[in-house]
Amino acid sequence: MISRPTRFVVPALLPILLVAIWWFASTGSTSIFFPPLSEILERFSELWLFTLVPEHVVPSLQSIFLGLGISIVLGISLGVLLGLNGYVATALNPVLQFLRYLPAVALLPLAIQLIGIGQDMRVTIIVLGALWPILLNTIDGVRSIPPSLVDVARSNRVRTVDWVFRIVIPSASPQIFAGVRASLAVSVILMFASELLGASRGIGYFILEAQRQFSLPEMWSGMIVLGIIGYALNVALMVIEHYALAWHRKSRA
Amino acid sequence: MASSPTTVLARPVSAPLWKSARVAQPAVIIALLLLWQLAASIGGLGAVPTPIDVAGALITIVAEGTIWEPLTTTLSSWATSLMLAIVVGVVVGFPLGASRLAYRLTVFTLDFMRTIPALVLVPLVVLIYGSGVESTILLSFVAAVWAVIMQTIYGARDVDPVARDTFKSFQVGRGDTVKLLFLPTALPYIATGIRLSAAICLLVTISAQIVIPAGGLGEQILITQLGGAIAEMYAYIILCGILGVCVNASFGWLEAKALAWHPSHRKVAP
Amino acid sequence: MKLGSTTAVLAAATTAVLVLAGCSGGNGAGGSAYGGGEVTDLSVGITPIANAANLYIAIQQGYFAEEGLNVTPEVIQTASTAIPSLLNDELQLALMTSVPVVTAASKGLPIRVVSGNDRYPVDGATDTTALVVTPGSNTKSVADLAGKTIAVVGLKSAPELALRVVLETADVDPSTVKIVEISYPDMVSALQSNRVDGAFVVDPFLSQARAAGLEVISQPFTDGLGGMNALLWVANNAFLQSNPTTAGKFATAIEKAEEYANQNPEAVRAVLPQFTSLSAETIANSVIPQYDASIDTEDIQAYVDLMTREQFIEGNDYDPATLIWSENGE
Repeated sequence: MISRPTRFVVPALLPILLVAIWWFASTGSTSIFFPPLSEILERFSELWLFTLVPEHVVPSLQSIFLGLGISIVLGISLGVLLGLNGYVATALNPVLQFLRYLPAVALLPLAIQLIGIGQDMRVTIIVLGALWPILLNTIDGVRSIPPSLVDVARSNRVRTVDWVFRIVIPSASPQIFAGVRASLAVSVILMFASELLGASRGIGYFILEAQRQFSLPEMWSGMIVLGIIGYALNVALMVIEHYALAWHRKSRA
Repeated sequence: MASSPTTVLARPVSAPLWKSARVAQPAVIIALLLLWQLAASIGGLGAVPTPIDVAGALITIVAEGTIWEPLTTTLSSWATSLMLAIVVGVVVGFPLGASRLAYRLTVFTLDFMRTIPALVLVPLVVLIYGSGVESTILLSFVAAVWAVIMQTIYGARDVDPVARDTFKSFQVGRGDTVKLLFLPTALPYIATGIRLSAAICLLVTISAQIVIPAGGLGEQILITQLGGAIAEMYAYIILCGILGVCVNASFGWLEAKALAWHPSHRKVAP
Repeated sequence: MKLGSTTAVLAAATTAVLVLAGCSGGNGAGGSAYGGGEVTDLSVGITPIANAANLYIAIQQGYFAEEGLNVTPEVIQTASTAIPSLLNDELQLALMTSVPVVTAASKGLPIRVVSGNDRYPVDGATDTTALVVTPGSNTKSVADLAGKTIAVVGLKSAPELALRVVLETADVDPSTVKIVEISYPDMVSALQSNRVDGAFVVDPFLSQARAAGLEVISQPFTDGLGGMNALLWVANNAFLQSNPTTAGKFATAIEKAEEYANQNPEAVRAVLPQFTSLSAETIANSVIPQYDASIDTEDIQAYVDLMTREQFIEGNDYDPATLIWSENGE
């Protein structure tokens, strides 16, 4: 058995090694595009701990949370409705598949034209991209409720409200969470892409401006921030999923 | 009312024709198109063109030939980045999956790299490589290679330890072990990886073409929007959707074929 | 094991290879052979605006051929894409606005100015750009712009610099003005839907704006940067060190083209269709820029001073003399 501390040591070795290599390889760097890591980290601490957080990090996170939140609410409610009505779900399937595989970034110029370049546009585009994984996964999850559960509910004459919220949704929750994971990734991408094309605040905007001004250390620091945020959001979702599905794992053990 | 998960909407003998999927699905599509046409014609949708305008624009760009250059740019960038992602992904993934130590050393890092949106590299890549095809290929490759690596690792790890030991005790050579044991075991996983990376490559190629911009269908969407050719913009957007569906459908089909014989307890990464 | 699965994967791979084989990618880059003889085939980047007509005049009048140069124009988007192309030798020279040139140079990028191209007008009548507002709004002059929102095509660019200079001249604190980035085609609708209070537009969008009834309250390029260099010809330091004679010949040809263009505006109009998508009517009515190939240290210093003052760059340690290349210098 591996002891708890040791469990974290082995996976951490490679990242530490890579960072060290980056540090030493870039120390004397004269390349404009790859400034010394020490300089990048210096800018990072100047800018992102915590001066620019309200100006750039908060708007970006706001866009993600709003967009993802709306997608979750819409996706689950529509998904349950459609999942319970197999006929409609199957009839709508080609349309839903088309919308799901349409790259949401392709809608970005359209959204800018119709809505302008404010946060409304960014949240809209995130919803347009993040809705589908949740919706389709919810439909799938609802449609694969074990027949035994259906029979038990029916014979006990469970009320519809209870049926939906206490049986259907929990039963579909592993799939729903899988959909939310995919939607999170899409949300981060769309937040960044929408800030590249039309924004005056946000991490994407910051990185773009730094690039235009050829301020490479600043640009790299922004990229690091985005990487950290993306990873942190994923970890947070994993933790939430772990606790939310704990009962599920136990019941299937 | 709950729907039984075993409801299949092929035509059971007693069900009326209108209930079958073959009728319902096209009917829904036609109904939506009619709704769109109606709403747009009476001006209810603002600047949105009617489906007829969009269809007309689509026909025009095909007839005039303006579609081919962006289409080939997008397709060739996609194909190149996909091939690179597959080759590098499999070559890197195999040894990492085959060795337990290598796996434990690298899995955290690979997971981290996977969550970084490839688009974040756009400003850097554009500075170094400009806004040509090379940049989109590099970005798509970087985005998709992790999926192939992870799937290859899962495949290599799924090798039956008993079989592996049997091979070892018969002193089968490295090459043969890979060919006769690892490859067949890993192939379904690799097929999943190929499907995932095909989708990712298409997504990132088009996205990069829009935000850089860098040619292809993506830049056409941007150009038509800026130039006010709205019906054409819709046509290009729909084209991207069609591409997305085609890529996902064909590679999904390939993956299903590769999975057909494999036991169903195999773990599928989303 | 069914062969089916392996064949399927191979089929997918083959398809991908076939798609790949049918297409080609990549742009033709001007041939460059460092070391040995200097290059005479040049790929030159320009943006499709009237200021770049100078290059086409030079090609058309044979000035480049006289110098033994073979010049191929390439249309580029912006400075951010031009500079990487210069650095990896996809382009040997590029025509860029002064502001991004000075920004890049102050950050240490190895580019240098080979020649001037044109200057901002000193007479508003020859300025094809303007700051427009919606009529009937309470913005009647630059002094009313405090606290308002103004659209420019790019942040920390020449239009924004000109705007800030004009604001300061009118005693308006630029930090009270919200400057947002909107692309030219979207500016008129942004004004009409009140998303912005003013917009800095160029032709042909200025004509559109006028036709839509929008009013001009200022011409920032004339009032703010009048007489200063507008666009400059830049090249990568490495290219200049390996090909000084070629660069000198290029500058000579541009200078000849400048004289010809200034004396023959109709010739300029005639080349515009080659690289712009302006209508014949627009071309016939368009104002021709004032071509001027001269450039010296004071010109650059003026930019450094302005840009430092407006916090575009930290220019205190920057020596403008290092930016200008001369055939006799390094």
